[in-house]
Amino acid sequence: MTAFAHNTPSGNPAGFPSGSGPLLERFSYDDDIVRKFLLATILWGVVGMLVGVLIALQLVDSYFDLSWLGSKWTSFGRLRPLHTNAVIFAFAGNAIFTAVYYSSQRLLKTRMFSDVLSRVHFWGWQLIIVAAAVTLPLGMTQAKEYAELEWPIDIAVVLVWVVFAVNFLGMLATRRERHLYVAIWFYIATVIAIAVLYIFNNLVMPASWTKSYSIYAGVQDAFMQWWYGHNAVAFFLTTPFLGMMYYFLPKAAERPVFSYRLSIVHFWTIVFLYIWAGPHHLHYTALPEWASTLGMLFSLMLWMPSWGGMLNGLLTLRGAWHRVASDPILKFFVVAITFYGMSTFEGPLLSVKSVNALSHYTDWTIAHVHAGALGWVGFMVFGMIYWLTPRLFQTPIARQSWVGLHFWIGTIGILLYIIPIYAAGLTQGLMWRSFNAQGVLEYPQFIETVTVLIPFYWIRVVGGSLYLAGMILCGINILMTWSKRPSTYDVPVYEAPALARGFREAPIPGPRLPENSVPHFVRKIDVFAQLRWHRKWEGMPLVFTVLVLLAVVIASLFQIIPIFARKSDIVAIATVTPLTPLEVAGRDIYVEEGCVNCHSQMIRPLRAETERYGEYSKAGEFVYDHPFLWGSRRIGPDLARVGKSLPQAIWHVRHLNRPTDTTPGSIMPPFPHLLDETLDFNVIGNSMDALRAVGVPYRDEDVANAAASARAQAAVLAQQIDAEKGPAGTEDKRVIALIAYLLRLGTDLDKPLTVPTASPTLPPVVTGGSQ
Amino acid sequence: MSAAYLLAETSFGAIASLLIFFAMFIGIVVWILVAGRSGRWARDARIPLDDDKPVTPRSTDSQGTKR
Repeated sequence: MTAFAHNTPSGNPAGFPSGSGPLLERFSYDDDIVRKFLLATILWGVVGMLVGVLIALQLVDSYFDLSWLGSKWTSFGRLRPLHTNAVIFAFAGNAIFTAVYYSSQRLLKTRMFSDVLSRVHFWGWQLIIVAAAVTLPLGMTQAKEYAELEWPIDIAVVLVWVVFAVNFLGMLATRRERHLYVAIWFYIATVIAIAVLYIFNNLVMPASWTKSYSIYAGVQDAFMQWWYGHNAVAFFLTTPFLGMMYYFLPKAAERPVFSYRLSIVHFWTIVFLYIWAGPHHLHYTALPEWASTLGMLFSLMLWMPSWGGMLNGLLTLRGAWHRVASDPILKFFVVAITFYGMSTFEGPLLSVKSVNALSHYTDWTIAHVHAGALGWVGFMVFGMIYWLTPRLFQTPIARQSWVGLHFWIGTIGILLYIIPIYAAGLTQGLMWRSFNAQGVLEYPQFIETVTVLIPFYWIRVVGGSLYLAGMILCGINILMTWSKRPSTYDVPVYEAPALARGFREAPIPGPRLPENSVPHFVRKIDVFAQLRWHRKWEGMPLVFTVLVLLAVVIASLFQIIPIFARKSDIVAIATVTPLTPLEVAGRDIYVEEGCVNCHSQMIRPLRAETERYGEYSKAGEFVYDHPFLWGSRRIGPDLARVGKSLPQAIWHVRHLNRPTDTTPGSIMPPFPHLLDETLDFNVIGNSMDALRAVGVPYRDEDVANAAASARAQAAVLAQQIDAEKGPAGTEDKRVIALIAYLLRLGTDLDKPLTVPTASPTLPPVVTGGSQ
Repeated sequence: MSAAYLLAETSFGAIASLLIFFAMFIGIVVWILVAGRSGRWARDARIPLDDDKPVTPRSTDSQGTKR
């Protein structure tokens, strides 16, 4: 660590009067912490993308699930969340902190609020990443996308985020620049919104240190998840990166941002509109239609402010376009902003219900996400890294020519990733809905719509590998530069006056238009349009922060309150009853193995789906679903009614043991360990207790007798498997619980209606799907 | 024929709001692009270009704020 000869700004005896001017304070910037975050960005970028390439290979051939090595920790269902969390929270997260720590100090002309908090933030965040990398392959997951981390890690995330928030907002108090630059607004929005989103989507009831259940069920849980999920895109992958754009692009282009006024308009519209858009992830599901429609409309509106940001970025380069040809850093930024423009056009398009009916559950979504992630997020980060490196390590970049090489490898990698995956998404979506002349599904076997994608998946492996190669090239280049760093870094000391107390913003001037020349309201609009009121806000960080918080919270409540309050949206179904103890254990295994990453449990009311999967899913079927398991991608078929369509236990035993035995060509990983491992019957009661605490109506005796009840149901099911010439002795194996759960799925609607009792009771122990 | 009837029961409301909001949108775009790059905007936009000198540091002298 570098020694610093820095001065604390407040009460600094070194401050001295200079002539008749104000008292000057001396200060320096903490670039040591920026270097740390920068190197962490590169390290986790390599790790996250490496896992990405591995899971891309797994979709080509389940050989790469590595189960032949005896590993159950490396299947797609467990590694896919590791990939998404690593690239979002580790790679993009550390990049965000790099940008915020470097640029905020300079934009506010002050050091980070506390060097100690900076280091707690850095090491805390890295520990969280390591904890995620260990627990996700172990199957500890909350099963909600980008919110998989279990509750103890969630608490750590919130604590570290608070440290970051204090460190960041504290700078606003000690700043020496009166007015907050636009990048700072975007950082404020990030700090505030992510805190709100993360906390309220992760409210869970723990059953143990490593297992918990969402306090929300079914439709409500789905709503909360995509309110969070979409706004994680908004406030983790968009606003901080726009802040990054507003700082580093002017720096690299050496010219000010195109239009400050445009930045005001697009900042507030983004903050106001994004928060409504989440339900577009749930079109045609059991989510009430009003929410779906609202999500669609606000997504469409988002197109304009998003393009406002894009134009402000691209037009900043006016008069400097000739430099783009020779400067690979500007190339990275230009391509990044272009991808931002394409993704934010495609996003509204995909949120249109009729388009979404085709695109949802297919690779189209995956292609869309990767255009944004590899193009916008990744290339912004690379541009920033290359711009920062010579400044942070105070030596020229080791291999200048590699920067341009990285740009081209990365660009070709992106194209080779997204083009085949767009094609795969369209192909599969069209095959699913294709009917022949007789009005029968043209491709009734789901596997037909999978094997056709394998060539596309191979090309993706090539594209992803190229992108990873660029990342590694970047890492080597930065390490070589780092190794040539000076023995001690030069730490310049700056001087500036503190902000004076009792500051009064210049009064808002009167109308510029002469009286009686125009109607009165025109003069009022003219005064408003001078935006002096906004300039006032820019000098009042507390007010600004509170306004952002209000914008996010109020807009959220407009959707959240009716989702929870309108009972008519979720019609109860009398025959839908809570899962039996064995089925609860099976559902836990379903969550642990990450089945939800490839299988949906949500049949949309579209003819192609009801033909293929059966009766469409109803909101009332999910009232005990903590968390909801609707899924977002059908790499395999929907399972909402699998208990009806595949009611034979022996089929599931064979399928789970080796999927290709029942489904030639299947790319599903094998789960032979489920046939060997013994089920822990004694923890089922804990799970049911936690589920009861979040509203599932189990009685005391249900919880007390959980193990015995589960053993009884398992024994019956195992006998059945035995009779069907399956393996013997499955009655205490984990597979029996998972199969009990699968056989239950979708069968409640057909159960005979029993006379309702005062307190809801468990159904009698049934023999799975054999009834 | 009341205004409420016109707005709710005919397509008049939908067309009128479409025209109003479209005109407003065009107005905002023109306002941003035509007039957005002068005066105090130009000065604040330069904040990131200087790493150590505050652009609007103080207030007590009205010079710092009047422009």
